[in-house]
Amino acid sequence: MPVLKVENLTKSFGRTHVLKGVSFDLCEGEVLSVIGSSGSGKTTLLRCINQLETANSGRIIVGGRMVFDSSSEKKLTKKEKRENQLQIGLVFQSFNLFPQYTALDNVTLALKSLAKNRTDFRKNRKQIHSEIEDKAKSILMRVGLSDKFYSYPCELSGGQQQRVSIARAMALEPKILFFDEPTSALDPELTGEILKVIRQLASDSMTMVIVTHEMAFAEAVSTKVIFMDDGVIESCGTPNEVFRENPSDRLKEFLRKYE
Amino acid sequence: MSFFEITLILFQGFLVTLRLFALTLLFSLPLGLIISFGSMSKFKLFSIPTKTFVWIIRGTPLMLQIIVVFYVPGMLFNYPIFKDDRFLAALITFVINYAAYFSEIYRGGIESVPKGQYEAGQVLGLTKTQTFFKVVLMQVVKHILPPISNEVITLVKDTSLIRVIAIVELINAAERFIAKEALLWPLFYTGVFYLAFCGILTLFFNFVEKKLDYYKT
Amino acid sequence: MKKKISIVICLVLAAVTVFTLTSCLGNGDGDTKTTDGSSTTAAPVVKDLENILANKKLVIGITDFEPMDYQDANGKWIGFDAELAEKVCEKLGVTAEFKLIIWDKNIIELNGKTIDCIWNGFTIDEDRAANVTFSKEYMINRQAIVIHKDNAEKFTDIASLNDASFTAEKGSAGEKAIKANATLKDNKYVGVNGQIDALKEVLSKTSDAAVLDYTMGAYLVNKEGSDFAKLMVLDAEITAKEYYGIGFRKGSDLADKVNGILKELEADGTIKAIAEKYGLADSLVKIK
Repeated sequence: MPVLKVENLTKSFGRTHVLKGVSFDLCEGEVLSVIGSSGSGKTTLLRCINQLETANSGRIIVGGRMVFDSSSEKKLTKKEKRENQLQIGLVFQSFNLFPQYTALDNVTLALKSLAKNRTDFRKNRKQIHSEIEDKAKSILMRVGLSDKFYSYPCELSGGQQQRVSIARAMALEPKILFFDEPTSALDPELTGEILKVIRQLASDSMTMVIVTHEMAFAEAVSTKVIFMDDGVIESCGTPNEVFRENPSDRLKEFLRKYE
Repeated sequence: MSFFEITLILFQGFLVTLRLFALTLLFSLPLGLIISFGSMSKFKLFSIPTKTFVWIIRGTPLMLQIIVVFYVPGMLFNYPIFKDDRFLAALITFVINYAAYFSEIYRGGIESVPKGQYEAGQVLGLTKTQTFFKVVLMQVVKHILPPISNEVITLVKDTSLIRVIAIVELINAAERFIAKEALLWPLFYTGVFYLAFCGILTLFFNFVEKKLDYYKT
Repeated sequence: MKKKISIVICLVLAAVTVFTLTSCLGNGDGDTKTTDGSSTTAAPVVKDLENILANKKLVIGITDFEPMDYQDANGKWIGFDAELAEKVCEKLGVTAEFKLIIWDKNIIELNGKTIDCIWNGFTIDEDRAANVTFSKEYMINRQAIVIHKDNAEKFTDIASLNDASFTAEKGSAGEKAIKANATLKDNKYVGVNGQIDALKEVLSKTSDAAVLDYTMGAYLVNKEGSDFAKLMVLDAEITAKEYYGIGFRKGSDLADKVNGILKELEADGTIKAIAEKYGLADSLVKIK
């Protein structure tokens, strides 16, 4: 039973067809890299699955829940939509940390808001908050920021900010973690620390979808690679299949730019 | 009349100025937020009337608005609502006028918050309201503080306009000394009151700006 | 296209707003043309009396104008006009409520119904009569020329003011006096917002001479410790005599009622007693 199932997804902005029928599955513990030139629809695909954009047609199933179904009349409530969204964590290209909060507060903010719905929140408020903070601290330690709990984003390097943003996404314990070009906004010497964190997550069998331009990294870390070209999946398979065994002409052309 | 007595009488006028100042801020700051939501609305039914309203308010002199609000109910509808309370007419005009200006400042501030901040809130499962109050608002406050402080200091001096409907605020209190005591200097002396008050406000805003300086966007 | 439509809608809205406002605010002007000069009876009767008796108060528009209307140390309004108004209100069975107004908006206040009458050394003239119904005249007034003392030798009479620049309150009796004077009518002239502003002009030497009510001019110039002590009233008559009256809304039924009461107060000596108290007995005229 796949944890993510995308069926025949299409999306257009005005007259531009960005996704022209995309289908794929992802099983638990898999790491999927989505590659392709800019404008090929990688980011849009991610945003549609995550409900930041609404697709035009198709179906999306996450963790057994129907997240999007263009053929169904039934409209999801806002609460259902939020619950669906929480199944997926997203790490943005430009971090999108909340500048007015410390690293720790960035990680705890959503957890504390969610905790308000707990029936025992009023009674055990202090205890719940301290539990949340302990949890957030341990996640920040996992991404190597044990000395930056109380730093503001503006006091951190780009790589550190992106690691906070990974910790923030992980804190909600999503079924899948999405990375939208997580190293594109970073100086080359800082990309290593992010890739290291992702590699570590992969070894902990976190299910991940990574949109990336780091070809070597994609090949090394992924269990599955999708090459997107002009709104469709051009090739799909294990890294070995896609990169080595049977690369299409389009993919070869694309890879040539990265050599 | 001694200097002290005159200062005391001017201070009574200054209290009217202060009262208008404080009440205008109290009501126009929240009202401005509501108006800004109106003009940012996706529904033309809300946004077009709101934008037109803001255009009219910002496009006509405050002095004219005071005169219209105060005199027109009696002239047009034979119902002089403000006959016994001129201050109320002034207050209503000021609240509406300043709310219109504040709404544009809010709009600028809200629109300056990057879309990514809303999206981050969304993927973290925050509701729209939570995102606004927990994520966006503080950033907006930081953005709008300089233009707001500008507007607030302008308000201090704009209060002198209400003397067109014969409310005895600071300037009018001083002008009455000319008619009554044939003294001109109290009029110039009022400048001291305005300067002192604006000085305090400037210090206050510097303080708040410094408080918000712990992060950068 | 939609944008264009909304712009057009905005413009139309604005035009409608402006038109409605001007057409109501301009009512007074409209009457000017029809009733100019002679016939004041043409205006319809405005029933103020009923309202005022029902509300048990008469709202009187005044300014700081010693010795006509001014406040004593306790803030009570006194002066010839204020005391006379109190007496009239007593007879009407209502209380007098004095409202400080801005003088150049006196007629707007009347039409906006924010005051019921103007009773503040209000000079009767034809132009004003187009917008206001006056009571019978009760006191004499004249216009005075005020100059800077530094110019006392240069300006001695009307003829010597031939090249002088003049100032007066816009629409005041003083302005009309300048325009009606054969010698002065073409002089450089600036209209300001109040009689006091006219004095400020002369004090700062931005104008050579101001024309204003003698009562006010003489008071401000001669008061002890006055900032206007550098000014003086020129001993020259610019106009014939003028009279003070009470201004009511155009066509108000209050005018006749108050005229009747004034006559009663004249007959029992009340008016004379008040005038003597403020040193104005010589200026009184017989109420017709």
